[in-house]
This record gives sequence, C-alpha cells and structure tokens, in this order.
Amino acid sequence: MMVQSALPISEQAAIRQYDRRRRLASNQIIVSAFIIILALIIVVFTAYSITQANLATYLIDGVFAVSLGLYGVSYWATRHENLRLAALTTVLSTDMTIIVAALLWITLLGRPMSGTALNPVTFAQFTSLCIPIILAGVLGEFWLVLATTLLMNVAALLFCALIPVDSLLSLFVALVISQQWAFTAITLTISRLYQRTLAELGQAYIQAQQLDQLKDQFITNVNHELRTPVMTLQGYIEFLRLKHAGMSAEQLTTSLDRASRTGYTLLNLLNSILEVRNIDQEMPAFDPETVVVKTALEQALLLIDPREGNFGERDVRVQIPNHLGIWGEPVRVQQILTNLLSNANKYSPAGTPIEVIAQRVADEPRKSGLLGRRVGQHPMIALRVRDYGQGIPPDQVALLFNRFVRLPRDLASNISGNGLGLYLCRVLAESMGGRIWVESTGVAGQGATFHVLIPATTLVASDPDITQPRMHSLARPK
Amino acid sequence: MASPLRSTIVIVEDNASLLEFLVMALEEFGNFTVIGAPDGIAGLEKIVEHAPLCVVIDVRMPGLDGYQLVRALRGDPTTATIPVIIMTALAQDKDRFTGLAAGADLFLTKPVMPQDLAAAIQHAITTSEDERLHRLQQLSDTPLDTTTEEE
Repeated sequence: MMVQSALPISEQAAIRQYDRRRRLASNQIIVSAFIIILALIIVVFTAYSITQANLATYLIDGVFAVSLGLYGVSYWATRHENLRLAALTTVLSTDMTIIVAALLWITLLGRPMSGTALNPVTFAQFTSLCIPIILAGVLGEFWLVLATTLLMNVAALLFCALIPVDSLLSLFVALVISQQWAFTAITLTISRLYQRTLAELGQAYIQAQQLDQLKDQFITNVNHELRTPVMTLQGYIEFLRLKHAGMSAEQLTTSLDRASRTGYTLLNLLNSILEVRNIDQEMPAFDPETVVVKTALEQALLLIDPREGNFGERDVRVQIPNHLGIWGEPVRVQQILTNLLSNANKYSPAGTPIEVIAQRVADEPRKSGLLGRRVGQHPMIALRVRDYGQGIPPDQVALLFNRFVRLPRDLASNISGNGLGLYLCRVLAESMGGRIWVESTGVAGQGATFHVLIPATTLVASDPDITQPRMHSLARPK
Repeated sequence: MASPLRSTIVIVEDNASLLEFLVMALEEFGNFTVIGAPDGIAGLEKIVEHAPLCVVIDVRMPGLDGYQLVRALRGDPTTATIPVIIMTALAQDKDRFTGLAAGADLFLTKPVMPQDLAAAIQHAITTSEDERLHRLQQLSDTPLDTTTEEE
C-alpha cells in the first residue's frame, strides 16, 4: 500500500504521516468499541460458564479474557503511536475472538439447536471470519491482510473438519474460502484506491500551494508594473493642473501627448491582465482571415517603446517573404510577435541582434483517435524569434508557457514582468490551430529561439522573395 | 554646465516615459538642473561626472540595481555624502529596510507627486552640513579640526 512516487519526497512523507495518523485514530475507535463489546460478552459467557461448570467453557472464557488483554495492549500502543503493534494486536485479538466464537457455535451451541452443523447460522459464523480481513485492511498493511486471510482459511478448514461429513460439505468449504478471498480482494482494492486518492489529493494540494505562490508573485509584479505608469500619468495631470496657465500651446500639446501615451501603456497592461481572465473563462471566437506576416511584424514593432532597453538601437534582422500569409486573427498574431520581441529585447544584452524568420512548412503528420489514424498534413507558417541573450535553462523550459510563471533566475533579477506574456502567446497560438515551443541550451550568449507554428493561408501573390528571402534589418521609427 | 542658481540633481530611472516626465517636472517644480540616466551604470557615470547635490534612484533596473548603486555611492568618498532618495514601486516594509540599510537617506514609494518629490529633494539638499561632515568623518576615521590648520 505504497504512496505513489510521483510526488516529491517531502510530500510523500507528509501523506504517509497523515495516513498513519488516520489509522491510529481508526484503531483507537475500533479498539474502544471492541473492548466494551468483548467485556459484555465475557460477563455473559462467564455467567453461562459458571452454570455449565465445563472445562471447555472456562477455556473459551480464558481466550476471551486474553483477547481483551490484547485489545488493551492495542489501545496502549495507539496512545504511544506504535501503529504496527496496535494494528497487529487488534487483528490478532479479533481473530481469536471470532475463531473462538465460531468454534463455540459449531461445537457447543449450533449442533444441539438445529440438528446439523450446516445451517444458516453456521454459515453466518463462517462469514464472520471475514471481519478480521476487513480490519486488517483498515488498520494494517498488505502483508497483514494476506496473513489474516491465510489464517482465516486455515481456521475455516479446521472448523469444517469438526463438522460431520455431509454431501454439501465440500461446497460449503469452497464457498467459505472463496468468500474470504473475495473480501480480501475487495479490501485490497479499496485500500489501493484510498492510497491513490490520497496521493492525488496531495498533488492537488501542492498545485494549490504553487498557484497560491504564483498568485502572490503575480500580485506583487502587477502592483510594481502598475505603479510606474500611474505615477507618470498622475504626474502629468498634476503638472498640467498647476502649470497650464504659464505653458505655451506647444508645451501643452507635448505634455498631453505624453500623458495620453502613458495612459495607453497602462491600458495595455490592464488589458493583458484581463485578457488572461477572459481566456481562462472562454477564448472568444473569431473569423479567421489572411494575416500578412510582415505587416503583423511591423505593427508589433510599433507597439514596443523604442526607448525601453534601447530597443530603438537593436538590430532586428528579418527574413520574411513579403506575401507570406497566416490564416488567423491579425491582433492575435501581432500580440504573439509583440510579446516574443519584447522578451527577446529584455533578456538579451544591448548590441546583440534579434532575428525574426518566417517560412512556409508542412506540419508533421499527427495521429488522432483511438486507432491513431494519421491526420493529413496542413501547410503551416513557421515563425522563429531568436535572441542571443542568457537563454533558458533546459530543465525550466516546461514551466515557461504557464500562467504567472517567472523563472527563479528572473525573479531574482531586475527584469520586470508579470508572467503572462508567454502564456498568452501559447493560448493565442493554440486558438488559431497552432502551437509554440522554445529551444535553448541555457548557455549565456546562445540565447533562445521561440518557434510558433500557425496554419498558413494561400499565398496572395508570387514574389521572387518568397523562394529566396534575404535577411535584412528592419528600419523602425524612432 | 549647471546654472549657479540651480541645483544639479541626477535621476536614475529605467522607465523612459517616467524619466522624461521627471526631468521636465523637476526642472519646473524644483528649479533644478536635472540629468537623467536610464540604468544603474549610466547613473553612476553621470553622478561621478556632474557631482549632483542629490540623486533619485529607482530600484528595479537592468544591470546595476538601485540598492547596488547606493552601496557603490556610499563606498566612494567622492560620492558618499550625496543625499540619496530611493523612489520605487516596491512597497513592502522589507524593501524600505533594504533601501535604508543600503545607505539611502529617504525611501519613497511610487506614485509620488512631482511637487512632493521636488520638496523631498530640496529638503535632502538643505540637510545640515554637520551631517555631511559627520559622514566624511566616519569614512576617513580622522577627526576634522579646522582650528589646527590655522594654528
């Protein structure tokens, strides 16, 4: 009954500890109840024994007393958190009690009452031999369940040896043994399911904790990201409020334009946050259309402030055929490119180039459905944005495209971010039937290459550049 | 070259829009000569070059961050006595403690109104000369006694 090993070791230990406490608590309740019941049985049977003055009845009474003593030991073991001893003594004591009770019925009470040992009450007595099996499953481990089952099998066979030969005896034996093993199978299955549920709950708890941490990080990041543009905007308003009387028309216009630009920056930030929420609820449907890749790139470049990280001075090398088209939504394509270019700018040193390459490719054949049929290939546009910065550690690549995630290295750095950009890129690419991934060795200076694959549209027109595109640096407005 | 009537200050801020605004607003509100720098290293160069009467520094910047810049200034006798104001969007107490422990004179949390910032800068500049001499004394570990020279 091992806990699944997919969880980290500390979480496995926590789950084992929880399971152990649960078993101890269960044992305490069961043993307390059994002590009371057995004590009552002992009182009644002792009164009966005195009237019978029979050695056998005294022996049985003695066995009941020993069982009671074992329950006491189990109770003590529970209080001292010795689970193994507690489970063993509880099961052993229950075995003894039930075997003796069954023996009592078969040899002393049952035959005289019904005239035959094979009667429904006898069968019920044999059925009670399954109780220790269930108890072992609740309190103990796999080996205890098997050992208890074998012990009950032996007890059942011995009892059957005491029963006079009957034509139904062999059937009775088979039924009893089968019944016990059926209970064993059910007990082990339930126990296994319980352990698996516990492990899944543990994983869910860990994920919830991680999400909580990410949420806190996100709130801190957003708080930080919002304060600066708010200060700029509020500053311009305050400045204009106090100084507008003495300002020339040109100064007024300049200040208002700058304030307006800051307002749009703030709005874009808020939109990116809200867009994540909308995406979480439902990705809005769109009417696909032809998106010329080069046009989308030029639009994306306009959205990046050239003064941020000296982006205006960066050499953005472009190799995109003029009429290469994507079958998608223009704003989404533009947003993907903006996020990728912004990241390339942030995470690579000034003076290093950023490369943007696009070409038409055939998608890899994919398999679909239960039979794994090969789905037909579809022409795709492969976009690549490459930088020559610090790269991404290969073991952290899997984290990148999740919501609110920022790599530990970036959290410790001075590079700002809200952990949403790449998540948005992934969701937007997938909404258009595409996908995104990254290749990086994690070696500083080799950077990272982000690949985006999106369905292509029919080429608009033939162009010699389509077959032989040249890489060139894109001129951008300063 | 700074006008003799205007105090020179340096603003180190990596957000281009905010830096642009602060340069304009502080020259207007505080009657300062304002020199802007977009990152910590450029800021250090400008401070050494212009010997400002006050420095305003953001914390989260590429390369040399605000705390590192403050420590660098405090570690150099030529810049150790310049009043430093940290102005940052990091709003938690631990950030404040870190900034003051690094050697900043004042810790402001964004957003800060331009006239308030101008007043804070002015206050930092007019901090008593005794405090600056005290800092110099701590750095050099020799008592400053002007009467000894006259004798």
